[in-house]
Amino acid sequence: MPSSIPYPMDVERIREDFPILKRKINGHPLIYFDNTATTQKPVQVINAIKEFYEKYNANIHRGVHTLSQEASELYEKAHEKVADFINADWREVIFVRNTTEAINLVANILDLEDGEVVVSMMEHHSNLVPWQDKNLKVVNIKEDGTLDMEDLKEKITKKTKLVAITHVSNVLGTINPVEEIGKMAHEVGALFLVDGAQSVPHMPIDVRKMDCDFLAFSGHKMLGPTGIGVLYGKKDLLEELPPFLKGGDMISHVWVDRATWNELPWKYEAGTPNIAGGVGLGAAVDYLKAVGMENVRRHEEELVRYALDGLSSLGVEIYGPEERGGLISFNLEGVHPHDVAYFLDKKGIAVRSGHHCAQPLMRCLGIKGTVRASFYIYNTKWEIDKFLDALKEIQYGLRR
Amino acid sequence: MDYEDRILDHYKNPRNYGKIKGGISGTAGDLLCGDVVTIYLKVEGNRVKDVKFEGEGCAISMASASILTELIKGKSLDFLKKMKEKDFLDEVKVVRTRVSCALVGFRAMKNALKSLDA
Repeated sequence: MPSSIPYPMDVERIREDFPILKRKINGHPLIYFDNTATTQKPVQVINAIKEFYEKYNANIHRGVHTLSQEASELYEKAHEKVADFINADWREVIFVRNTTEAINLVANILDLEDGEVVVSMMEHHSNLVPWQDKNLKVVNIKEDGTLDMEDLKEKITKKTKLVAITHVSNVLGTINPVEEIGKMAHEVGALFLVDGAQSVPHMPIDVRKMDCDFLAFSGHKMLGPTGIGVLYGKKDLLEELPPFLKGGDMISHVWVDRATWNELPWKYEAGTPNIAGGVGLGAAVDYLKAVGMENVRRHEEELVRYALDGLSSLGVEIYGPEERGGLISFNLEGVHPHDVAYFLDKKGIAVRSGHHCAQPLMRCLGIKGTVRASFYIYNTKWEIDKFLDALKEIQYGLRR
Repeated sequence: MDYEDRILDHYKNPRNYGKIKGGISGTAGDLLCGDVVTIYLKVEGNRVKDVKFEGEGCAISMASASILTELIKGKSLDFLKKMKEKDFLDEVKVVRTRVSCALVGFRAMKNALKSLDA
């Protein structure tokens, strides 16, 4: 990729970097609209991982030999790239497996007894289930799929120890006002965790501006490999809090009966980490920086607007607010979401159907599931046209 | 017949849809996707004299239940008891991702049989 791309970005050029987009599915060119679940990988990321194993593979830290030093530098460099991407200090960037692990890590190190945790009705299971053994307060959503800010104001009290809210809903696409929520949390002395799984890959993120105490996200949803994710945490906090997993690399000095902890971020990265995955995530961040996160957001906004217009003219039920991230959940009247996804697949179009790991939200909306189309940098209006044509066929073909 | 057409045909024109009073019945469902099927059996002298089904859900769950009713009508209880999930899947031939949908009716039938033993 060139160093910076003006808008409108050259999507055809971007598409050439993604080998999987050349695949045919059931005789049709692949149209990949399941980016909320995971994104495809450009050759730059695939090659970075290949190159790591071919040229630099060794275990990191403590090795005196050249390969170990080079691997350590590459792995640390990946932390720096991610830190720069979200405007953090590299020591505040902990590599974990995924968003789920990042949130579980926080749930394990915070002392939340005698206090309350505030989440919202639109959380993914990964930002709900880890808190279910605490005193949990769940903030309602409004009819239009936005967070009920009045309810939030009532539920954040002096008893609140943590507010854990998703930045962008993986079902409704709702973009929550995280800066405002963070202020509300801090006013009562509570900590603020943001689930950034659906925001970090899709829009410019600045943890200083957001003023969150923790930010969790996954590498595989932002062009990176699976098995690598990030927990950002404010340095002062992470230095004070106890470690999560204990063992190799997270220690400084060890006696038979006690140990002292390594400096950040290694204090929270026990055992041999996913080194190649970290390097791959670094390459993914390089790619996204080259595209420009403002461009990513604008491209998705344009695709979503285009798709919403098309879907509205088909008369389908659409969930979530007008202003949203790059995804649309909907239902065709009288057709089960799995059937829609199944017949779209026959046309080479990959979408997701079901409850999207948000069963309480589905219950709140009074539905069993939805079809979800979600977009990324390589998607085009031509693909949306094909998708809308296929939906028309399904409406006609499956109506009873 | 191409199975897509067969599924669509059974989905749009379900066979043996409805209820039987005075027989045995069994229900099964996939809670996650909301598929639910009830199978009604009228058994006479160890044979399935009549069978009907009711339910709601995706095309594959509904069509598979419809196909099942055609398959078991007139058959012996022994045939129904011996029929394995795999035998039925060989009959409806759905893709791996939709196996749980295809089996909702089958499981409802097995639940109905359990009521005979009770």
